[in-house]
Amino acid sequence: MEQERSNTPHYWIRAIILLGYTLYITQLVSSGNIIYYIAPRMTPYVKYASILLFGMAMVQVFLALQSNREDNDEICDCEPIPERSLIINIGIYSLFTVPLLMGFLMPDTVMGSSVASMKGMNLGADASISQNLVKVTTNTTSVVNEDDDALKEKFPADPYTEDYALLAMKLYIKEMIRIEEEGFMELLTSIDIYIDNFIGKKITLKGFVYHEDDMLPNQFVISRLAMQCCSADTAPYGIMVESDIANNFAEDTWVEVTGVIGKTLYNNNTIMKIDADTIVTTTASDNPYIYPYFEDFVNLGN
Amino acid sequence: MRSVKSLGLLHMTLLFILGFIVMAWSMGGFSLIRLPESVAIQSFKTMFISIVLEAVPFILIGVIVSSIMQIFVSEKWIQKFVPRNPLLGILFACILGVIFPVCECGLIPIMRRLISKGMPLYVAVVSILVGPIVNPVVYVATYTAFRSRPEMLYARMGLAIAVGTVIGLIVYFFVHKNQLRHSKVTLYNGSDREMTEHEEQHRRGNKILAVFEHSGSEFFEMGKYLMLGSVITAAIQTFVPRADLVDIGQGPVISHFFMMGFAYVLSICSTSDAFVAASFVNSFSMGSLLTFLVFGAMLDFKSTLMLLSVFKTRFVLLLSGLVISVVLIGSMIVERLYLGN
Repeated sequence: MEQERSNTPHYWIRAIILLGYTLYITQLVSSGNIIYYIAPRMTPYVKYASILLFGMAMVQVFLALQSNREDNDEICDCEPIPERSLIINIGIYSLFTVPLLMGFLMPDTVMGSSVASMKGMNLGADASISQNLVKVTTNTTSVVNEDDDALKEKFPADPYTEDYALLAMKLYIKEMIRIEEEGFMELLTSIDIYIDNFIGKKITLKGFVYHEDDMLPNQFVISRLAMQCCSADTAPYGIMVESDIANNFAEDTWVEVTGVIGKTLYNNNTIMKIDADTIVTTTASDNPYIYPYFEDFVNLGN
Repeated sequence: MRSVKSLGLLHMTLLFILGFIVMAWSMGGFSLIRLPESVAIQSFKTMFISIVLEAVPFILIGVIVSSIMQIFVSEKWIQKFVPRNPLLGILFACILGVIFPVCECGLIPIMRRLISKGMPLYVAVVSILVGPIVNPVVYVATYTAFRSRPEMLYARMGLAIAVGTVIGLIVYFFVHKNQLRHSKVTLYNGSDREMTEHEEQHRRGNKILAVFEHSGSEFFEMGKYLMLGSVITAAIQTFVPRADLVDIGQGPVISHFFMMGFAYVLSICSTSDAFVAASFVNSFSMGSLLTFLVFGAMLDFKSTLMLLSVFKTRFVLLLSGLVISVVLIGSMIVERLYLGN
């Protein structure tokens, strides 16, 4: 018995780490800062996970307290803690501690243009939409007036882009197109697919300023980061803005741009742009991210 | 036996640390300390923590289901339910994947347990490969990302099942030896006689407590690979510009290889990779994106590390080789016949 290795420190260290994760998740949820890391539809899972982690931590404490008892009636000895050198053990437990330390010690920050430049800006349409639409009008069960055939003529669609066509028609008849946070990418995509119809229309939206080296001095991109599940899969989406005062706005400044839709050439691609009438500095959006819209497009653009 | 005194001291010390952490946390003490800030380090931190937070629920489901199986599911049960016919076995594996709609982080611990309980290797392999793709969550995510190109959704699901079937059959016919890294003894306490004693023990003890104890051990066992994988993934995402990568990856065949490498280093969960793939539609062919979607979910940096914890290195290499070649060939065929661009 003299030489027998004690598992007690392992149980304690594990208890501390598990409890650390429980506390960290609790802190993120209660401060609301969890939206910096995880999309809202994933947060319930993380919350439940913290409860399980707490339970596991308590069991580890129980095991630690029990491990030095003489009679040693462990609940189960089938998976003993594997025997490893001290260095490897330290390494393994450090791996678990690093995210905790970073999480507790460093402030939660919004990712901005630095991430956008790493991931590559998506200008205009959601790239998965094919732009060469077949010029066949489907019988769209429309939210727009049924008799307005001229309008439907302008927005040809195949079955898969029908939703976008309907949304575009809805936007087309508006005096001023407002791009909201909800459905941000979908609204932009609708406009971009039928860009020729929208030239000269008024538009307004909010986002952060993003520059790339090869842009002209009178250009910047007004951008938002879109997230699917977690911040590792974020992708920046934006629209080119042209204005004489574009230079006055530093990277990552939150602005509200109002202007007229047009087209411009950038990196040999024709893309959508806004000729800005007004650019106003504004407060950052409460939620740093936008999310893909999972519901029916009918609810958008109202 | 260690002296009771020194053990008591150890308990006191560690209990004190535990108490201190809780106190400091409840008083908001952590926010008083600030590390030096830099934008890149901040982004790294945000991505690293988000990858960990996203994976933790799934790995927990994995280790808990695995522990429940360890304690409640017998070898006889497995033998009764797993079909003898290899094709039915593969179908069974695909259904297992649908029943546990978790990504590979959760599936690998479950499959490790099932193999040690006597489930055939090929069934587990097919589950690990196909499960992360053919499940309702990924179906919806892929549909949303490729709303206007639904053929991508069908191509992804179909190719995943085809690749799983081919690799499952190869493993069924050619791999016979035990491929688990740890012998059954460590995982499962060996022979039948010991088994019954072991079960006896569980019956006496509190089963729920036993499930939690197992889960704790397995969480640390599997979690260390997850952590390592997340660090590297977050670093690549923070410090390597995508545009640089994209420039090296053009061309009809090279783009497939590029997309495999890209999926491998990004290690994005199959539930959200369709979204990333969609942002490459303009710069890459649909075929190479299909490669990305199928290969990335089957094999990536994070899952290789986790596979290495379960299987012998040679088997992981064999499996990786098979996945690379079968996905590549399959994806090119689908591109030629179905996606057509």
